[in-house]
Amino acid sequence: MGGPSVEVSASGWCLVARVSGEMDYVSGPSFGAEFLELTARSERLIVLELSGVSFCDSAGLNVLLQAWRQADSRGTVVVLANVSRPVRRVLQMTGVDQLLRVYDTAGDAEGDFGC
Amino acid sequence: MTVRGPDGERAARAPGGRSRRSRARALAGTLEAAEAAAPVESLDVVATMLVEHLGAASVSFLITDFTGSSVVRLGAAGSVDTGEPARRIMLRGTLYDDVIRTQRPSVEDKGEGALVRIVAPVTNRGDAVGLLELFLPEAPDAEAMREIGETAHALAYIVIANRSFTDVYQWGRRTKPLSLAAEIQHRLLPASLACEAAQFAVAGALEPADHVGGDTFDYVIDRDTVQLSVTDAMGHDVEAALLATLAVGALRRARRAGGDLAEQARQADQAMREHGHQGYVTGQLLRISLIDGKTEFINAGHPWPLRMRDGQVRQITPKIDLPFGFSVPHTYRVQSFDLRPGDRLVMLTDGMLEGNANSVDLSDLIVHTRDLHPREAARTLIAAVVDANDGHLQDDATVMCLDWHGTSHSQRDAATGADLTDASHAVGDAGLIPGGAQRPAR
Repeated sequence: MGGPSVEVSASGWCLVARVSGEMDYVSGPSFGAEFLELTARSERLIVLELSGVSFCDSAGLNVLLQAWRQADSRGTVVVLANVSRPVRRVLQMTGVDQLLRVYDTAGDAEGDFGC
Repeated sequence: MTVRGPDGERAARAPGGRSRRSRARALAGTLEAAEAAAPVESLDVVATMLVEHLGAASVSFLITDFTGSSVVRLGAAGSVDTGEPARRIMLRGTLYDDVIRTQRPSVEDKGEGALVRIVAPVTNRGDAVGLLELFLPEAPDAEAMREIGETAHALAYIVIANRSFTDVYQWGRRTKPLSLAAEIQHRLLPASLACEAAQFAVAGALEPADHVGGDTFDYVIDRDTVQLSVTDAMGHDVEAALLATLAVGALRRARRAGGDLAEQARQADQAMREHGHQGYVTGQLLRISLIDGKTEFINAGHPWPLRMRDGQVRQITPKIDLPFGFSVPHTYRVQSFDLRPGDRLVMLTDGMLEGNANSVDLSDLIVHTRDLHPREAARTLIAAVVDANDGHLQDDATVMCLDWHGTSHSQRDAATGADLTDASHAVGDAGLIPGGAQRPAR
């Protein structure tokens, strides 16, 4: 498995970012910088597709929250899709799934926002 | 601290069959002598008294280190050299371990004129501070054993009273150099990691990660309640330790001002938002009434508590509120769950669940350690996670273990500093074998 990476594809006003790698305090700064670029594009919706993320600790969670905060201040919605079981558990345990909506697939999220 | 008698020669013994009053006088004398000495020397004074009273060939005090897995023999006062690391004696499989587990003194008599070794627990309210070790020229009688037990108990008070004045006891407790973050983290923990009361026994254990992760725990007993908290600050190293400091400070301030759980959570959240530089802390706050056993808790995005009842472990599923410090409007809900006499409650942090810790079946281990005192049970759970990670944790691992005895008990039987009905069995006893004999009913 390679290092942290984010692959972005755009359709209409929506961005889908496929995130891979473990989200922890090692990869945090790198993901933080990538997400900052994403949110700066001020699209209507950013879907973070997390099927390539098997682990997320408090530092990873903080990066997700930062992205959510930055996006929110620009009127952009951030949602999550295809979240692995362990990461879903972390989101649920911290209540972060109440802030960042979790969809089964990126397609479901796009459909919901009419992309 | 080791004090030797004159060639192990037997000094004059006080006549046997001393009255309660003369014992009280002896205790008062011990405390008086310790008080008269400098804080760093109070242990030596007590040791010298034992040499004189019992004709001991040697007396020493061993202090348990922060991990609870080893003891350190404190050097004689005057020869304390802080440049050298304390010599660490691993507890596993030793007589010391058995004495700490069982909280009963042990006598080892090899006969044939060899010195008799006595090891007694130095414990206060279930907090196993250390051990008193003596070598006597002959086996002690019941009266001498009583004196040793009483002195060991008095010693716990002497250590606790004097450790606020000197670093000597701190120095003895650290067998490896601490990082700045770890030093801060230690100072956030309660002064005693375990406590026994009539209605409950509680113990916490924390193993810091190689890069300290900001875990901490706290407990306090008031007239009508016992309150517990476990918190986990995001991040690592000093940054995490500072966030943890902020959270614990806010929680303690609100609690000491008489605030209920909701108020404590609100103030912790506010402190994090105002001073936490966008950091956050997850936490679980718990408050149990000592009057009716009613249990309240708040879950701020923290791993859920586990409750063992009748040998079955169940996760308690809370309503989840956001961690302290999220800058979105939110509130904290005070919830309740049912706690019955005989229940064991286990609170933890995510370091017990993540990474290689995944391979540890916590529920199974909680069942298998049910006969251990919370102090040893908490340590055993932590040790399993440390082992699963080959001794190098990615995240701090923290456990708080609470045994609820119920509100019908208003007194505890603990003349020696520990409630013996709660003590663990010695290693190898039936009690440690999975599914082995139960602890005697209270």
